[in-house]
Amino acid sequence: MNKYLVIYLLISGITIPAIAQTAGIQYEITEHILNNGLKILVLEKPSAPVASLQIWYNVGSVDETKGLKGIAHLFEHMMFRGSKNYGPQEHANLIQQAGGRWNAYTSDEMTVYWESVPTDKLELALKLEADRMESLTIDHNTLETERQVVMEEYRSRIDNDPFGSMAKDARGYLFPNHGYEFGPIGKMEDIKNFSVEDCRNFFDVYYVPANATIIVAGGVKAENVIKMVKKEFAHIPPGLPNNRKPLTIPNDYVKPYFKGKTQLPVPVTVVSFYTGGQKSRDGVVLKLIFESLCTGKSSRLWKKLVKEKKVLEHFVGIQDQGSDVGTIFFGGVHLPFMEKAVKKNILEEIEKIKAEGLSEDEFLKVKNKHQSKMIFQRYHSNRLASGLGYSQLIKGDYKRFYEMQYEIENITQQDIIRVANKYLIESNMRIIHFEPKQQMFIANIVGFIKSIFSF
Amino acid sequence: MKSKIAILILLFSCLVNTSISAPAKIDYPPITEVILSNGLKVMIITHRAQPAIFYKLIINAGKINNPLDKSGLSQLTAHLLTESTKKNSADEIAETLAEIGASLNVNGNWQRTTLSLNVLSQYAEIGLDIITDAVMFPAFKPEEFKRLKNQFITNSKIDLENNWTLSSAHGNFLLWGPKTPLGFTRSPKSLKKIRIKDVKQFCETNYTPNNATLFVIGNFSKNDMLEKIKRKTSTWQKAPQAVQPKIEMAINRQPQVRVVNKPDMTQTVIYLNQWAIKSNSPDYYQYKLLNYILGGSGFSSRLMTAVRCDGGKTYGIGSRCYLNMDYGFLTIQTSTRNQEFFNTYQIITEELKKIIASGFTEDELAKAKTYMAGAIPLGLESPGAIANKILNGKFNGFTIRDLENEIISYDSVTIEQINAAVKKYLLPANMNLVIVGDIEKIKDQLEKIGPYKQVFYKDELAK
Repeated sequence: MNKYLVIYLLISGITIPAIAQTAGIQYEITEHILNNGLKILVLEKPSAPVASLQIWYNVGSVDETKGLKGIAHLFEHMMFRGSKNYGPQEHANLIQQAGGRWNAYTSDEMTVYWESVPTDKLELALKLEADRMESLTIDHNTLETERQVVMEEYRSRIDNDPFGSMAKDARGYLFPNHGYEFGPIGKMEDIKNFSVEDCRNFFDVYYVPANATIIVAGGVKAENVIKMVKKEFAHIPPGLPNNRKPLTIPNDYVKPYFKGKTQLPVPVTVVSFYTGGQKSRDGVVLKLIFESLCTGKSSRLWKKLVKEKKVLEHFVGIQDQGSDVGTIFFGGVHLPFMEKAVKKNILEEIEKIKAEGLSEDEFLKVKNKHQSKMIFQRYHSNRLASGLGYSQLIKGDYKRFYEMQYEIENITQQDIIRVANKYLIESNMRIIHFEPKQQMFIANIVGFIKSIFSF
Repeated sequence: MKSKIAILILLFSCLVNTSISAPAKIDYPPITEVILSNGLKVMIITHRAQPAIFYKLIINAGKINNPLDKSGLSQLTAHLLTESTKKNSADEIAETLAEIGASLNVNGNWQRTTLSLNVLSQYAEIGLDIITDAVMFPAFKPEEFKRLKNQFITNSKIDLENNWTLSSAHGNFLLWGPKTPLGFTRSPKSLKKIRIKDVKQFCETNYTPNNATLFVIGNFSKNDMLEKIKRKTSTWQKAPQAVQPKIEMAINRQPQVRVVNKPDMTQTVIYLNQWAIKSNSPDYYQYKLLNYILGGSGFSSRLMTAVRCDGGKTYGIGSRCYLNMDYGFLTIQTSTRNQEFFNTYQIITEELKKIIASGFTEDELAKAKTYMAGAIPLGLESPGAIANKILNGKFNGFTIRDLENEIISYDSVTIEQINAAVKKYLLPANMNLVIVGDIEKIKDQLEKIGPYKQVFYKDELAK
């Protein structure tokens, strides 16, 4: 604990672990499953003027077969192009007329549609969602327009965005012939060739009640919500839940180093590790390790790489955890020739954690950060709904949304050392380096000189 | 007789229903406003939903206060405030924030700089210490200045690769011109000119209590909080009020077309802007609704319907209006594949012409109004959102009463008023146009646009 805080706490008599005492209040969550397999989760947040409705479909880019890379994401678009009782864009228009907001997103393992509406408009939002789940319009014209839009999105996010382009290359390197290879944006060649039949098949398999979870959070009563959902969705044929096989880490056939080119004017180096996913309890331990290493200016790696050693100009840590497989990235932008210094300093800190674990302060910081995050997110119905959906689909059980607090509380130093030694090891490590397409003469000289003094 | 009574009851009930469905007033929590002896404005609201507090410290200085050749100075100064103070090192502050689960953020805009801190109520005092120390006792250590300046320079180089940011930067330059800091965007060149003495001077001139507002909302006792604030800021000395640079809309500048050549792009970005009204204009609500229907409402908007939904030409297109006390302008921005650049531009201009010729429909206006009626209260779910709404309103010349009546004000706009606003303010001939793309790939299409000035994307804006 730093001197500033110690002095304050001595004066005020507060003890830092007290956050847990205020974080005990939890909103009530009700679970209900309809006969057709549709799962309903309702979080009652008394007095909120808003109802946040989210439908989580258990389908993402990992479920796409060869030749259909990007089709899960295409549906994020198609779903707004009309259904039996509503015309193109009418879904979005009606939500907005009700003063609501809406959007959708696709990830590797799920596709989520959400609406935030005044509580008295929840029924409308449910009606719209049910209609498109039951009778989405999939025809040639709709597909052609949305294909063009998705291709524009690809150009915008990948071709003309240096960060998107690097992310695409990194995925391709880390996950060849794997469900994560292309990510939700997919493959341009495949997007060009999706047929109406491909779309119908995909929709019929995955957009069914048994493969969906409806979450409602806000100023609602569970009993009423369940009644409304039943009315709109109970008659829809169940279909089958997505029986996805657990994904595995492809660490036995991916070479240890990747070098690519970037449009950015500065080099980028990333040290990455394959890890386990969120379903495993190790996922929570990994989160704690990651946050201690990466989050904020008090984190180990920011202090070491940016402040003390000055080998990175910007530090970025990313933890990307699916259900079964995850990746941790440590890295950033730097001057030319600093690549080895970046790697060396990152690995030194990781080795320390593997040997000694975290300090008491680091435990405290991560625990308190999580606690305060739980309290701050209670203001936002949509965030609460997202938290529930994520826990249900990615962690495997919505109850882990609140249990996370206790899972974190119970992590020991032995857990940290065990998990760090299980995942942050050489066989899981891959180095990714991007060089600028256009070399900068002066930066090269400065970087070269600096690199000599960085070891 | 009975039937007459029934008719009267029916009529009366209709009136009641009408009044029930009439646009509602929005209730804002009571605000305690105090000006301390050193000139610091304090605004306090209690909000007891959660055991948390939101602090916002706003300094009336931003991009407009930069010297013309030192774009980036206001942002650099603001970010240095989150480093060391004379009382605590940057490490100590970062450790404290992490240990209490709080976060301190800096956000600078054209006229103001905001420090925000979210903290649990039990750490109210620590949070207040951190946010006030940052502006009262900044250390401006040379090593921290150097590191942050280098980061800013790297960021500004990276910004050149962001096509949307690039088009906005050139668009602002065309709109404002070279005589005001608002026309410029930070660049490696402007940042390299900034010295630590510039930062110190910027801070001494602008970061004074009589040029600042502290807004606090959350779960606490109002009197206690006010006492704490008084105590913490008692040594913050009032200073002579700096003369704020006058913002003048360069309405007489001729609209221009600029093509920013960026090789290897597979898409072309189209950016348009023009002057709009100020926030104190009597046409304010008309203009906001105009923008909503034009391009501010996502899929419901005219531009999105024409360019994306019907045309499949883009992933997204939108318009935004920035209506402030001292200036107002409108922007339209999209990107499309190179071969569709001119077609897309044409669809946009045709849609504008159509709107001007035929106006919006009653139905469009009614839908925009119902959106506002629902969306405004929904946007006030958290204390942070309430704070932003009140502060933005205040800085744009609106009273709490205006905010309470916001839905009513939108609802009172008639179709004649909004269409008159369309004719008065939506003037394609006055629009600046910026095109960012690979000139080799769109050369033929550019000829159809007419005369334009060509620059390279790494050039300075004023070249």
